[in-house]
Amino acid sequence: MILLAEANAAAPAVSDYFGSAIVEYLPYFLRGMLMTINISFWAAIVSFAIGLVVAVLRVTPSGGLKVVATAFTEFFRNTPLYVQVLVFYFGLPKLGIQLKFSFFGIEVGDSFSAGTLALGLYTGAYVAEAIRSGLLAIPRGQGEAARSLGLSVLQTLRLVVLPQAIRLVLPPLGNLYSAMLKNSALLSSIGVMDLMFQADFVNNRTFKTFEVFTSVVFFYLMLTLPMGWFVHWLEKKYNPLRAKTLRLQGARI
Amino acid sequence: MDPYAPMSSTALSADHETQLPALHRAPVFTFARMFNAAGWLILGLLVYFLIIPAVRFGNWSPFGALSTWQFLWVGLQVTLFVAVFSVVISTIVGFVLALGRLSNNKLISRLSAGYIEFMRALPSYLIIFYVFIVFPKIGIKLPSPWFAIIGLSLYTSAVMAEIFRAGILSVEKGQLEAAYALGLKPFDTVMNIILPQALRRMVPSIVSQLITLVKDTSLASIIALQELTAAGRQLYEYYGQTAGKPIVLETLFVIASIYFVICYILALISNRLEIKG
Repeated sequence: MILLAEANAAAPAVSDYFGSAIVEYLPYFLRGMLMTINISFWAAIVSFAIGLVVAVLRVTPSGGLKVVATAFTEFFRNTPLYVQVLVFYFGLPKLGIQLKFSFFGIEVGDSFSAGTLALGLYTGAYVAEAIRSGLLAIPRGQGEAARSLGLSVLQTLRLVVLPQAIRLVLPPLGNLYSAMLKNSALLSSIGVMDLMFQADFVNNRTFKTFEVFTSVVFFYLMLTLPMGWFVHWLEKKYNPLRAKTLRLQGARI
Repeated sequence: MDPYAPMSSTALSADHETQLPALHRAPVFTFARMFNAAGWLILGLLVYFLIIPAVRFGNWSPFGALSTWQFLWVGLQVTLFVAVFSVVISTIVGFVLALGRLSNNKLISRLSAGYIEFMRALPSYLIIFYVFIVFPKIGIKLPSPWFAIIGLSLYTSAVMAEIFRAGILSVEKGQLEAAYALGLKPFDTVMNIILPQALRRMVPSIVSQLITLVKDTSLASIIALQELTAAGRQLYEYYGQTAGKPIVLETLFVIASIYFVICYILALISNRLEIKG
C-alpha cells in the first residue's frame, strides 16, 4: 500500500480542526468512491456472464459440463474471497499469465484486473446458484412447449425459459450485487485504489484515524443504502408475496 | 396390460406394429449427444492441461513435512476459535435484536432496526478494519482474536437478527392467537410455539451465514490476525525467500482446500437438516 501511495503525491497540508482530514482530502474519498463503483460495475458484468453460463450448464443434461459447472460453483462459494484474490493476484503471474494489459488504449493495472476477476468469479458462483434456482422453478412444460413449437434449444433458453427465470430471481440478484459492492472493499488489500484504500492512505497521512474511518462508514452507506432501497423496490415490484422469504435468502453471501 | 381394453385390442395392436413402415429412425448425432460428448471432452482437457501439470510440476515437497502442517494447524486453531466465538455471540445478540425489532415498544423497535440496517449496509471488512484500527486509538486494548470476534459479531449479529425476524414472521399468525387463546404467556408462546416452528425454516439461512462467517475470518488476516490465511501467506513468503522454487499457488490451494472442507461439511449438514425439516 505504501508503494502505491506514491501515485497520490502532492497531498494538501492539513490544518488542525475536527474533520479537517475529511474536508481537505475530500477529492481522495470521491476518487475512491468512483473506483469502488467502477470495479463493482466490471465485476458485475463478469459475474453475470459467468453466472448465466454456469447456471445453464448445471441444468442441462450433459455429464462432463455438469461436473465442471458444479465444481466451479462449489469451489468458489466455499472458499474465502480473500484467498481467491491472492490466487489471482500472486498466483496467475507465477503461471506466466500477464495481468497488466491495455484495452483500446486504456491501461489496466494488474490489481484491477485480478480484483475484477476474483470478485467477478466469486459473485458469479452465487449468481449461477440464484439463476439455477430460478430455472428449476420454471415449469418443465414451458420448455417443452417451446421445443414442440419448433424453437431450437438455444432459442428456447433465450426467448422462453431464461427471461422468466431471471425475472423470478431479480430480487436475490439485487441482494448479491449489493453484497458484491461491499465485498469490493477488501480489494484494497492488493492495491485497488478504492474507498477503503484511500481511507488507509489519508489515515497514514493525517493520523486522524477516528475521523477518517468514521467518515468512510458514511461514504459506504451512501453507496450501499440506495442499492438496498433499489433491491427492496425490486422485491415489491416483482414478488410482493414472496418478498419476505426472499429477504430470508438474501442474507447469504 | 390394460384390463378395461376391448378384447380385440391386443390382436389389433400387434397387427398394427408389424405393418408400421420405418418412416422415422432416431438420428445418431443429436444435439444432446454432441453436447454431452463435448462436455466430457472439455472435462478431459481441463484435467489433462490443469490438474496433471499441477500435480507433476508443482513443488509439493514442503507439504510432505510435518512441520508445515503443524504451522498451518496453529493458524487453523485461531480461525476456528474466532469462528466459534463469533457464532455464539452473534446468535445470542442477533436473537435479542430480532425480538427487539419485533417488540411493540416503538423506541426499542426503532433502535434495533436502525442497528440492523446500519450494520448490514457496511462491508464486513470495513467493520473489522474499524475495530482493529480505531479501538486501540480510543483506548480499548484486547488480544487480536477478540478484535476479530467483535468485528465479525457486530456484522453477523445484524444479519442473524434479520434471519430470526424473517423466520419468526413466517410462522402463521393463527399459531400465536391459538396459543394466547389457550392461555399461554407471551414468553411461553415464543419459546414453545413460535420458535420451534421458525427454527426449522431458518436452518438453511443460519448455516449459510455460518459459512460466510468462516470465510470472513480470513479478512482479519489482512490487518493483524494470525490465522490460517496469514499462516499460509507467511509460509509461501518464507519459502520464497529461502528455497529456490516458489510455492505460492500450492500453498493457496492447500489453504483453500482446508476452508472448502470446513464450509462444504457445513453445507452438507444444512442440506440434510433442510430435507428433514
